[in-house]
Amino acid sequence: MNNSNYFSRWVFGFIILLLLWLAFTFPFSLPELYTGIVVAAFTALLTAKYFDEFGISSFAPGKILGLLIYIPIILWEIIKANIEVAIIVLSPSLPIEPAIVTAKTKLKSNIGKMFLANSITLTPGTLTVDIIKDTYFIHCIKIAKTDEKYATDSIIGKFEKHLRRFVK
Amino acid sequence: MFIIGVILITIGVTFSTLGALGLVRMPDLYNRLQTSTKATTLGAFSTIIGVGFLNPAWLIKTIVIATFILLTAPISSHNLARASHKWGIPLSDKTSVDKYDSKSGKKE
Amino acid sequence: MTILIWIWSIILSISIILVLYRCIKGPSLPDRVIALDMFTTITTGLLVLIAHFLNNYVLLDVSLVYALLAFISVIAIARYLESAKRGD
Repeated sequence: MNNSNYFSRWVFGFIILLLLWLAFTFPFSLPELYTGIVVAAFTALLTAKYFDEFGISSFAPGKILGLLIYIPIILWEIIKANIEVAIIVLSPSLPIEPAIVTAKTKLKSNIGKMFLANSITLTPGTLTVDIIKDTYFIHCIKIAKTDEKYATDSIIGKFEKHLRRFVK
Repeated sequence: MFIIGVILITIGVTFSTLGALGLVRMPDLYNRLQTSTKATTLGAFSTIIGVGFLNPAWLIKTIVIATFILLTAPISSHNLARASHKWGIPLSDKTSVDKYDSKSGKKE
Repeated sequence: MTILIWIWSIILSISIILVLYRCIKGPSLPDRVIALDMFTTITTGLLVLIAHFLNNYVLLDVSLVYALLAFISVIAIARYLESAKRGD
């Protein structure tokens, strides 16, 4: 996983932290900008050794484009799944068949697994309970079959092909 | 802009209430986590973005707050689910299968 | 406009009452923590609505810090539950 040198990680952390600072202090003045540059540079220096999966290469146009395409997809999935759950909550008989199932992922990097786990958790009806190596333990509110292949196809499949554009 | 804001806030308030209803109605802890926290996340997200549309000078700040909620909500609910499983909260009677053994998961 | 904000706030308050019902009744400790987590999320939305109602930009910063502290406290409680012995 150690695929970027210290300087490249530092530049990555600096840019991300500076953008965050600018967003937090939105109608910013010039002194605030100077303070932000100093604080971001110092914090990036302290934390660079922990973020070893990032670097300048993370800003490649293809990856940023993949992320930008992914955001509307995940928002649409969230809205669709929320409506399904709303129907379940409003129906008087509570038609639920909960189960904890396993599913396998092909993603290799930790950051990719993190994206996938958060996507699964954000769409209601599925909730990641734990990850051990490449196995996801997912609590489903309503699932037709509980075998691993079906769960992998129906829960992970729809996110994984989009995620593979920008994470390993 | 005004119409979009009103629609977004109405959607958000509706989903927040549905999430709260789910929290009261669901039989066990995991189903409560499912329906409640995430419906509420969409609710708060939509409400906050809607306020940004009503008041365009605030749009960037509201997007920052909404994105923050969207990023942190799954992490906290994931943590709570795993902690409850290790704590020993039973699943509801309707549960068909539980493939997760938290004791063996702890060793690795 | 004012009447709309009143209606939204009243509906959100009703959902907060539902959440507090679960927080008081909740059979186990994690149930109460979930109710609290949800309570803070709804309150963040309500704070932003109030910021618009009062036209006060500072309340946006307040809601951001509120969401941040709520997230950290829920993570801390979850970590504590994972390591604690069950005593109810």
